[in-house]
Amino acid sequence: MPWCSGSDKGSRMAYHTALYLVLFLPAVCLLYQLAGVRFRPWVLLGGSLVFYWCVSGALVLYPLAAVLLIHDVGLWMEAAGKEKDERQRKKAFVWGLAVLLGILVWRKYGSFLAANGNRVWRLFSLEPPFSVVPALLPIGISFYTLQAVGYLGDVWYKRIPAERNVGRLGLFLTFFPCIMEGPICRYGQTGHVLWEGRPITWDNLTKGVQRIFWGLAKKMIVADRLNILVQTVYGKDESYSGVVIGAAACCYTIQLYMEFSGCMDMVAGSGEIFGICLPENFCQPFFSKTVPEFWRRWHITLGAWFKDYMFYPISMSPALRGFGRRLSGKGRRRLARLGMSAGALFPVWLCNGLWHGPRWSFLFFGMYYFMLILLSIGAEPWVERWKAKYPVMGNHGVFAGVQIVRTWILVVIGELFFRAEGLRQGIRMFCSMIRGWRFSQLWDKSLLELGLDRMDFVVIGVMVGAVFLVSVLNERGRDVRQEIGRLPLPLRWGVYYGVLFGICVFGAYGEGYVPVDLIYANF
Amino acid sequence: MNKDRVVRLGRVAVFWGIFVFLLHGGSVVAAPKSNTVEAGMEGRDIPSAGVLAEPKDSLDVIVLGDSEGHSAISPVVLWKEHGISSFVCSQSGQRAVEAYYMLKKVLSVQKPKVVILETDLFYHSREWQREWNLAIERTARYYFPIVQYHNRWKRLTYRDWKGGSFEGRRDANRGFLPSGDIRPYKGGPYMVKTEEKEALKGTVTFWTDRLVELCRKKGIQLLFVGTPTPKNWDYRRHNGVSDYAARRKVPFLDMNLLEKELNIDWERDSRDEGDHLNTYGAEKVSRYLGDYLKENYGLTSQTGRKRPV
Amino acid sequence: MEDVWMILRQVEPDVDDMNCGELIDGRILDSFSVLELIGRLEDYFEIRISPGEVTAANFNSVRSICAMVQRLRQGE
Repeated sequence: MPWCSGSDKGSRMAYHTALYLVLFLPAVCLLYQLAGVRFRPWVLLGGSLVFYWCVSGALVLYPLAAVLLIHDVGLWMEAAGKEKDERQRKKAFVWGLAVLLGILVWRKYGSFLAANGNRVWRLFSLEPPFSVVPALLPIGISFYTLQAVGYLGDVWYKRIPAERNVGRLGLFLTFFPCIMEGPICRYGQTGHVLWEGRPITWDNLTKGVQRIFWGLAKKMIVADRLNILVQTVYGKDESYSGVVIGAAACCYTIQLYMEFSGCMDMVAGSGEIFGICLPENFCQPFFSKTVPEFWRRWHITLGAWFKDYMFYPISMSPALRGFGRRLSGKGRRRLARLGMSAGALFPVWLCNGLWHGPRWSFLFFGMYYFMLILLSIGAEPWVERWKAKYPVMGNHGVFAGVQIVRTWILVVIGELFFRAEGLRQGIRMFCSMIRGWRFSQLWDKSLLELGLDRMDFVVIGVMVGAVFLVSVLNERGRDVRQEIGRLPLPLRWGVYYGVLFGICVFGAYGEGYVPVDLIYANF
Repeated sequence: MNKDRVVRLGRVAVFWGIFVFLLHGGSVVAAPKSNTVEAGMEGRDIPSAGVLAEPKDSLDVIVLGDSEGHSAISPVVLWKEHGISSFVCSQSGQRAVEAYYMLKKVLSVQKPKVVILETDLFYHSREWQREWNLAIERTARYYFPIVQYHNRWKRLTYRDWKGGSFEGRRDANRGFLPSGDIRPYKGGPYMVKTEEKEALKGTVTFWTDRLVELCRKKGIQLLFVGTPTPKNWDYRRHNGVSDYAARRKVPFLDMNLLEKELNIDWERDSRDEGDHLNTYGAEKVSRYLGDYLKENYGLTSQTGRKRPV
Repeated sequence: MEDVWMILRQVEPDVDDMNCGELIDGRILDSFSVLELIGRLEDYFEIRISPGEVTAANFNSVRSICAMVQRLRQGE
């Protein structure tokens, strides 16, 4: 019976696979450059559809259907707008939204809803009527659906005119660097740039390739290595307690950040090669002092999407405004603010949590942050007063340090639940962590029995240190690549070789490692 | 403008050139210096790696293929009964791409007259993207062993840093993995004649084509051999490979059709219910194979030559 | 222009530079301040600001806010 080594299990097309880096991307770049200005966008579109087909096969029909839908609905809205027919316009908009979101809910949450519907039915001792068959998810459906809804929203609010060219909309929705894990783009920002067919310049190629390797290093050296420890603990959480669980949650947070931001680097680098500047998804999130700030620095495009297409429309709805006005009128300005925040933030965080997937633990995750952010808003006036009273301490670095560490702890707890296979495991692990907490576990070698040894931690530490350095530079507004470019040649090349060899030697691939699929691509 | 370009291209070429050089150096350090687990070699590769420890140009026959190869063909029998020196360079679940690179590696130290390709590997192919990823990785491994052995960074010894050549342990069984287990195959006849063909995948034939070409170029005779394995073989697969062999003009000896001639007794000759043969089955197969090779390939007996075992 | 500036200062007293062009991008106004500002602008100028107008382009500077207000007043 054929036995295959671990590395035989290699994944399908994804940004970190040999297939993408060695075959697909170079082929697309070559074809793109050779094609004239007119055909370049079509090369990108064709390449994106091939990419999609490689990952999801025939399910490519879903994004294609979404493209046709928003194309038609957009033009319908514009035509109705020209004839000043507000009812038609609204009808078109609602219809478009309903279909897009309906398909997303059906494919992604269908079996979850069915399973829970069955539970309710069983409460009444009735025969559960729904069949729970999980549907195959078209890749990136969570991402391109939001982009599509955003496009319709922008046309509705007349921020952009409807697009006539189906190809442009097609490329906008399916552009291969963005399709698996975002960033979630706006048509006004990237729609036109994608179609310009700019030639690949030397500069862009070098910068893009550098960024791709940097992202690959983050994923291969740190994220995939930490996955072993996280998998060990989460796979059998009953065997562990206290510090070990805390460490696993911490490691998962680092793994998630390294992988997601590393992937975003690879994605941004891929886009950069073609002269396309994709929006950033991360802005040194672990330098945040508060939880709301964290969510402005983590998965930025998702937060921005919720802000523009859910938070503002809901906050500015007549119902909520009336409520806020009444309270403000009575002089309870702060309460008004809190009330309106809660009213608008609740659906936002409900959706943010559930967007990650059809699990109660994701819902809990959303509500956890909802509570924290509400607390943060509510506590603001007291914090301001305290800061005014003790300005020296309030502005001191140590206080900022305390705030940062506090944010880390809150985030790690959130990620503990995020990673758990369901709410029950999350609660179990959390309680076990608190109950069994013994600081001695930090130095009694129990952390070395989870699949990683001292050398592994050293490698992780070095790479995390490098990422920290880059983050500090970014936070100060310096362009790291430029800085490196200014170094003398031997040093500069030394840095490049360091990253390349880091990936080759310290990458967690090959024998003894299981290939790790992209985490966010499953959302 | 053009001068700028030339300088740029030159710099890129030098950058990657140095990188390749460093990768090569890293490979020299990382590659195991012996075919043992302690030296860092993977268990799957150890039997076949013994071929590098054989005296140069001393082998007449090389066997490639998956675990069928190393459970059914015994170089010891071939030597004892026919004086044919051979080595089994099989790996568990070996793929076509791995067979190709294995042959290339062996040809750097040996000049065999015949290469036998066990045909079970023609049907080792999963989803095409996995195969392409695998092919890229195996190609990288061939040129830069550091890709395979980079994980040894934690366990490098002085011996590794010193470099030096491979000092393999000679394998008395020459790559054959014997087993005395008897677990009979009870499924009955499995080669039921049919006109249907199980198609071969492009990801397999791409590499077998190159293997065929390599043998042709080096003047080596290639022979496809199907060792008896009821669990993995049927007439449809026979037709598929037979068709391919005819197109490539490679002789195909399918022992699955020669149960009578081989005298295979499924009550005694299988180690795992028809998946692999045990030593009893292997003896029969090797004897027949030896006769076949003698008759058709004129391999002269080498019993005269001194062969330290 | 003066009125907008006055309203802005009511919502966010810390703003001291009337020509600041980074009210949104520089996070001087957060989401809730923007909402409050919108509420007051609507009441004061008797206009309706739709969610579609809530963009960085419109709210980044006092000048752009004025332009938006004027546009909405003319539109009605």
